[in-house]
Amino acid sequence: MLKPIRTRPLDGKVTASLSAQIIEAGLTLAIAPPQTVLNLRLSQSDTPALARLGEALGASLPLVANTWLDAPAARLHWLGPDEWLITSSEGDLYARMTAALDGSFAALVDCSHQFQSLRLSGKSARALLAKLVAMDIDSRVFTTGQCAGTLLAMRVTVTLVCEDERPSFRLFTRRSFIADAWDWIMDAGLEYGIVGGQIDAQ
Amino acid sequence: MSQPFRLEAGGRIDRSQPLNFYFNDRAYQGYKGDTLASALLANGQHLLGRSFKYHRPRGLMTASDAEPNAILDLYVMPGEEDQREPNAKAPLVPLHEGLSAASVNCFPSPRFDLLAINSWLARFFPAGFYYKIMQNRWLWNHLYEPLIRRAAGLGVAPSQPDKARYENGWLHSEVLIVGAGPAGLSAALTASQNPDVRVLLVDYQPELGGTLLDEPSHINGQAAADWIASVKAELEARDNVTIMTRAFCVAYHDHNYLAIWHRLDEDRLTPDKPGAVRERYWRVRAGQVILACGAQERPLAFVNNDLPGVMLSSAAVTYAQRYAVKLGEAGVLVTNNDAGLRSALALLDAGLRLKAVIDVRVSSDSAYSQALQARGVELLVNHSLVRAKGRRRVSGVEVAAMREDGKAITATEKQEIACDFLAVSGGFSPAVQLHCQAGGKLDWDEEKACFCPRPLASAQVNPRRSVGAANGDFTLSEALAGGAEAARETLLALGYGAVSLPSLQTDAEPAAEETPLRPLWVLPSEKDWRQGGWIFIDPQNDVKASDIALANQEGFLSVEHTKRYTTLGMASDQGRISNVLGLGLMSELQGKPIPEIGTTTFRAPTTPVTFAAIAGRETGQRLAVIRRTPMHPWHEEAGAVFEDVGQWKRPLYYPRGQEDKKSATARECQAVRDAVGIFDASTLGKIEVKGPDAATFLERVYTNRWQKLKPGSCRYGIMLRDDGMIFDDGVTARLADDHFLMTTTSGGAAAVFGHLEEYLQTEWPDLQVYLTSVTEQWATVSLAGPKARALLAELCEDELSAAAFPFMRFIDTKVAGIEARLFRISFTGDLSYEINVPADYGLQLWTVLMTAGRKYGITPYGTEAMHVLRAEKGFIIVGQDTDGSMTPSDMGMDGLVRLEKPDFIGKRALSRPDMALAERKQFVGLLSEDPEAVLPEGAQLISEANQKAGATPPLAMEGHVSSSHWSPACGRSIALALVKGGRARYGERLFTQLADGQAMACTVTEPLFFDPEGLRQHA
Repeated sequence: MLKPIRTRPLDGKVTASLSAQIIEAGLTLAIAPPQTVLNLRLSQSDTPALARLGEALGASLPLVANTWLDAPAARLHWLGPDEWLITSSEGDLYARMTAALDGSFAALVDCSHQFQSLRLSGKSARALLAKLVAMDIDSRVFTTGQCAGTLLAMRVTVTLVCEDERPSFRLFTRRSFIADAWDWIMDAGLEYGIVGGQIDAQ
Repeated sequence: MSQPFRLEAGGRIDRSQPLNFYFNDRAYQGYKGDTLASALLANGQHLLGRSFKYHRPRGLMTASDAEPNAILDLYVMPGEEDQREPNAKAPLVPLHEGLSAASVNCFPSPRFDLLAINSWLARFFPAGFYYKIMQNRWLWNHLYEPLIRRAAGLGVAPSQPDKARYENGWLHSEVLIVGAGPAGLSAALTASQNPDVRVLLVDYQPELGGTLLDEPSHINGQAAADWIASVKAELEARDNVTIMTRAFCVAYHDHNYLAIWHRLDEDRLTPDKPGAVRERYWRVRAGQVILACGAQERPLAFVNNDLPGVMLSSAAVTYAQRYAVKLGEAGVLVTNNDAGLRSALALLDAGLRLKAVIDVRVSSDSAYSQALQARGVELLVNHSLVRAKGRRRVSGVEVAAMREDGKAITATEKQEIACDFLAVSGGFSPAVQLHCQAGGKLDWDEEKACFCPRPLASAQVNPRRSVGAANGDFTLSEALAGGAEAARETLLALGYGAVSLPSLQTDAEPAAEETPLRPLWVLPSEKDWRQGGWIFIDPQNDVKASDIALANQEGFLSVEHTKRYTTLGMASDQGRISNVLGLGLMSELQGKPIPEIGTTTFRAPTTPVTFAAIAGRETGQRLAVIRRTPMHPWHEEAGAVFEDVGQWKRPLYYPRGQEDKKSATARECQAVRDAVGIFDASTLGKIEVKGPDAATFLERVYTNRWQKLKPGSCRYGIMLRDDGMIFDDGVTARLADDHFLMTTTSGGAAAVFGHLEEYLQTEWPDLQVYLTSVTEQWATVSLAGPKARALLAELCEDELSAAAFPFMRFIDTKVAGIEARLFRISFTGDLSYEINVPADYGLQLWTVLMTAGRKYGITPYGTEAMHVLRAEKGFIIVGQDTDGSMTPSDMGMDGLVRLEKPDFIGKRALSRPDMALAERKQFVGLLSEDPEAVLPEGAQLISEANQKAGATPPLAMEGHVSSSHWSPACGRSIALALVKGGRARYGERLFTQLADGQAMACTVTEPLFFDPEGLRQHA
């Protein structure tokens, strides 16, 4: 039998690779390496399930709207009052969480191929995003630890995550929108000399 | 000599940086800091174009964005159509090296314009003339419209796409201040003291200061220019302040949502700089708004008040003070208010010569009038300016004493004063456009003779949103104080603490009591203004005083009717210059005070905005999203022809060699029926339905039963809307007791997900069900055809025999080593499998199947073949065979509707008597009598009786063709249709009536043309 090979939407189209120095120096748009992405739906009032999950993950799910936090092996993003996006570089997270949720009313769905992400990083990132999203991305309003669902260029549904104050933003989109998101961000970044490319998995 | 009309000293221009520019192909020079308008005036160029309708000579009237006349064509290099900008207002164009400008609406030149003949024919086309005489349709198409298009109007749109880059975006601020004059600057200084308050300060001028740039006065002991510079430095040092110049606030919508049009490149050379932006259109969300957008001076109406060389007094001051332009050798100024007298003094201060000042007021004895007389200017009080004289430029004025009521001149002898420029002041109108767009009301201020914004009533806002001249507070000290106070109140309204008010003292106080403005709008001459004459109210649209009288005479009494009849206020300044003048005339005609006449509605945009800025980057390939499936690269390489399905690109067919659509589709269909076809079904919507109540939920959203479906089985379902009409359809598999995977149509996926989530959240919050969209988690490959099993068996270890894995079953398995969800479902009517693998593996799976399938004759087929194959089986496509008005019964699907269920969405609607009418359209098949002829989809069907009678339309419609194809399996054409009472009409002949008059005969049949027993799909 064959070894399964992943082909991602920007493969072949974006070939440059981004070194740490390039990312440090200016404004960059990177195709993030593949990772485990899980969509969780669970009631906030199901405290036993939340507790079991917290134990399995090593951190409690964020309950404050539009925030994210890091667990030892996963990043937990609030998407809605009963919905979270959980990312991890580990492959067995789904099994661990499924075990923790056993017997609860919950929906944990592997969306690792559905949600793909880009990482926009650099001094002008906020100015660039101001041209593409209607939400207020000023550092006084949207800062490290926050995430939000919005529309990119009034068309692409994205989950926008503020990761640090370089600043860096991660944008999750559904698979078929990632090329469009890429084009729009690269186009809007022209005036800031944006550089785009692949980064290697850590 | 270069720049013969430049004053020796003064102005904010940089005399060390001369700039060359061209006007109507002649070379001139100006300075850095000039606008195109000031540079033209410094070169003595007053005649800049011809008017809209009468082709009268016209020149600059303002120094603002309200400019009605100086509208020019701009380009960098002649003939570069992708760089040309039509209809630029000269006062708004920063001068740059190499700028070229040309007059519009004149031929061959503004000096000698052939269509000036229109001004001789004026009596034949008064306001509204086209309503009266251009009634004949043929003449309109062939004579009137071409003539009008040639004669009227402004610049011509460029024939090439614009090369420059335009963008748009979103801004957010706690306080938006529109206008950076004294009131706006004072407000910005005050509001930005709190570092948490983001202040956005915008002004359409190229620099901050507004009218302060023309002021000789001092603030806190500093000269105005120095004060502006220090305020600018202070604001720029605060990181909560954003300043934009050349930024027009053009729209003010509900909830403090505004639009700002920001013009960036001054030298119009952005196309040569990568990423450089010419204009940006910003959508702004502001916590609170302060409108400090100033006021517009109004003209007075008198004969020939549109001649080049006649301009508003404030504009004359701006050109003289800010740009050091000598407007002429000797001027005259006419005014009905004290501001006009102050303008006269400012012109003298700048070094211009004024021969006379005509004050139409009954008496004028103030510090201003004394100062003017002391400086040797003749002051003619209670005089009328009877007419301006001159052909292409004003050369003098006729003046006469008036009766005290201002209705007529008294002296028989008129005095004539020679002059080459004439400044006019009819008082000021606050810029209330944005205030009104936001729903603000106006009050007429009798003393100032202008409409002022009515304070706002809501408790959530600072009641005084408009400040300074925009609020009718015309003095500098009022503006400075008003701006600061408004900022403090605004911060309080936003819930921030109080801030201190800056101390701003000015020496520019009026030296004496002001003499009130005299609301005299038309200056009397020998002839009654109602009778005609070149007395212009709205110069851009060539609306004369007598047009207002004509409108009134014809019964257009409402101000909105007068506007539409005469085009008064329809110019690009939206009546900022003309409205009060027009209202003054209407008031006089109707004997009613101005407030009873009312104003017209102010609409966005306040100033013309380029379409390019609004469109931003949403052009060309960025106009719409394009979604591609995981297998798209393969389809592209295979040379597929694509069709758009929603946002998706789907292969329509895969031509080989010189094949056309019909032959490629026929080959693909044949391959599915004879061997095996492969189809990319990844675009189908997929929704995971999970929870203890999942089956109950499906019972309520679908018309059929779901409780007893066994895990591992699939079922087809149709979903209705509330009104009982078919909304979507698809196959749903039961993965586990509490877990289903639903599929939807490709185009309906998002709507279905929203519909289901809405019902869960609002109607059935008690149901324990969670939905998760997984459309893009999976790539879906459909294998169809008699050899599908043999092929799949090579790559799948599970037992695939009909007994082990029958029709409508599902298994979790591996295909080609990839984790897969395998369904045995069929939309082709043939043995078929749908293989779902995680999306990034889709391309690999497809490639492996193509390789392994070669020996079985595997053939990729597109959506066209899919449509044919399912039409042969009579499977419906929601949206193709249904149109939102079809019930399951109409489609012959009564068997799928379980009315014994307690409820499902649309159930109640199905019991309406209308749903059982015999004449409802029903889903049927059609066979054309000529088996080679394919009926056109959408064709209307008529009865044989009507066809035989040779009746002419309109004829009773029996139905329409919804799908129609050439069917290789049947060896003939087939069609699906919706026919009134169709199921009772099998065997009846109908006719399609085609647009070309031809009719095609066809017979109504059952909608099933192939494998009626369904043996193949169960094989």
